[in-house]
Amino acid sequence: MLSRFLCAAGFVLSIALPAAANAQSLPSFETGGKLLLTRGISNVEGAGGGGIVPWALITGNETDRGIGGTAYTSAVFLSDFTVNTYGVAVGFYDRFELSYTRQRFDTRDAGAALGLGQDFTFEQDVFGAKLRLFGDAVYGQDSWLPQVAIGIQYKDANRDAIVRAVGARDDSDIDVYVSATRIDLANSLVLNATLRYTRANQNGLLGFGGNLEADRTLQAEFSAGILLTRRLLVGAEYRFHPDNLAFAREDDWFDIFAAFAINEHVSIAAAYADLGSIATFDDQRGLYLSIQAGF
Amino acid sequence: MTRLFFLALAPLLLGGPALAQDHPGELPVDPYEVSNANAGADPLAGAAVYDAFGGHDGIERVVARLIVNIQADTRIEGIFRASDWVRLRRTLVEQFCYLLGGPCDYTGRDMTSVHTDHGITTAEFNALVENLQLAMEAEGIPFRSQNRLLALLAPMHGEVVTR
Amino acid sequence: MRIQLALLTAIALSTAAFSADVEVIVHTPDGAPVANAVVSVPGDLSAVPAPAEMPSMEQRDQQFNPFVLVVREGAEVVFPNRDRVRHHVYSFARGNRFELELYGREEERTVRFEVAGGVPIGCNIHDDMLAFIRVVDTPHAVVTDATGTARLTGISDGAQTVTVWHPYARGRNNLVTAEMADGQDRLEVVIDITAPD
Repeated sequence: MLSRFLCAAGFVLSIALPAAANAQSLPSFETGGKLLLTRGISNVEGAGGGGIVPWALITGNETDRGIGGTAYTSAVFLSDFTVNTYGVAVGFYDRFELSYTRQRFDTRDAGAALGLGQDFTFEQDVFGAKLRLFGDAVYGQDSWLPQVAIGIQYKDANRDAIVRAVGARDDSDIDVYVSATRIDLANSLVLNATLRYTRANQNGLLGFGGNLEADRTLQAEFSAGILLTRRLLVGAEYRFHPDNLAFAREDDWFDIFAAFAINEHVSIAAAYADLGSIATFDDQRGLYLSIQAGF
Repeated sequence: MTRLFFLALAPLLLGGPALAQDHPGELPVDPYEVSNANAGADPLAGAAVYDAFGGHDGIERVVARLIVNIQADTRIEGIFRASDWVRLRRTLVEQFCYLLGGPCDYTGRDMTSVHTDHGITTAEFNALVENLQLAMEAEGIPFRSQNRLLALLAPMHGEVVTR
Repeated sequence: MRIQLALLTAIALSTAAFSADVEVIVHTPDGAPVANAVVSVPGDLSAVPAPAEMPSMEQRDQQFNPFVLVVREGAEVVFPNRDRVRHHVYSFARGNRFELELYGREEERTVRFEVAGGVPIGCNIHDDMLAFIRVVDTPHAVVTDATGTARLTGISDGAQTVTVWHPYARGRNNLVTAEMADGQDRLEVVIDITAPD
């Protein structure tokens, strides 16, 4: 009550005092300004980063004086499944990021073999938020300190009954992660390590938790890349995954990628992805393609 | 005349700090102490990257292109509109040469003093980096060597950006 | 003869009615002189030609000069940037909004001020820069000097209302008014000033 009164009193006073006391300020909202590739590309969960691992970089082209956004879509053509994603993300002052991504998991022929139906699809919504805590990947070249961010992803699969039928504990859940990213210009390297606290099965597409392991576990994720030109980064990513479900083994994910900034707005990425065994189908490997447009 | 001669030598004779000299064709600046520390970063050990830039001539060409790029860049040319371009060219060459391990001394002012009052934003800093990258690319500087220079310049963000 | 004398006297008296000089001294209730106050009396803009030189609000050493500039309604003001750095000059004043990006050593850009009132001026790059343009609808307006004194010339010596405006004056519209009696040529005005934060 007191604080509300003080607020109101302050407001009234500020009107009563001479209006000429200052010239007010111009709104300093800006767009654009980031160097190429320093917003990362969009990962399959929508976070700014590499293709499969979220990094500590904030999406959008904005600097600390503005707001930026990206829209993205990707497709992974595995041996027996196809995964599509599409989404949007907004970056605020190069400090905070919000994202929404829809993931579609198409079982193709495997759907029939699994008794779900030919071309049976799962979908999952991922709502993400990321906060940059400290460090600067671009300007902090003279320090060993990486840029560090924490993130949270709320994932909600839409085939509740199927998800539970495979032994998952839940069809929606929250992942929490911390990422540390360093752009080592002296060696033209980009390095990232992410630690994720999760019980997502296949990124959440087969639900969360399982009959082997009900609870969240810590999983590490790594990215390493070489800057070949101002526009081109090539590298590899590795994600350790939990193995919570008895009905099917879950493997770690791995890819080697190339990310190319066509211009300040559009980036494309291509990768060879190996997602291991998914829902009893082994050797799920194939081409990953993505495109991201931003401002 | 003799009195002036000894006055000019006074800093050397008295062992005081070296003060900035006036250069022909450049506007006078307020006195300041000259030191390589003003360059804003520790130089690279060895001359390998300096050589990769084509030595002093190569650095002069990169700086010349950088200045052309800046003047054509509507995002930032206004910052430099009233600059002393002769001095800017000379001190940039000295700075890059010194930082890259070349046989130069930097005689300009420190990064904070140079950039204070200009109200430079991160976007403007990045625009300059881009113009430098384009200049180095045009001069055929190997990409890894380009990044060696950028690695030294990037942390100056803290002193250059004030808005 | 007597009629001619009477006529001459009447003419002499009537011209004398428009040639008074008046000194106004402005101070705070404590007696401290108030500089940068705009002292004005009502008048007809069309009766007095505008000054030949364009009013100027210069930027020098990252400050505006003068701190308070008084201009006539409709006047054009030039904003020369005498520094080597950019200035981004602006105001939000109702009716007098403007924005000027001024590069170093720029002498030419002008803004026209159409609406009477106080116009606070700032620089978007240098937050400490502040000045005021007071736009008036009378040709008789002068800014007080360091001693708080303003000399108004060529005004009527009849009774009239003197307005004193200061950007930091307490009170409605940052001004006070005082009455000048018929024939009075010196007036002291007290105005209470809030120190700026």
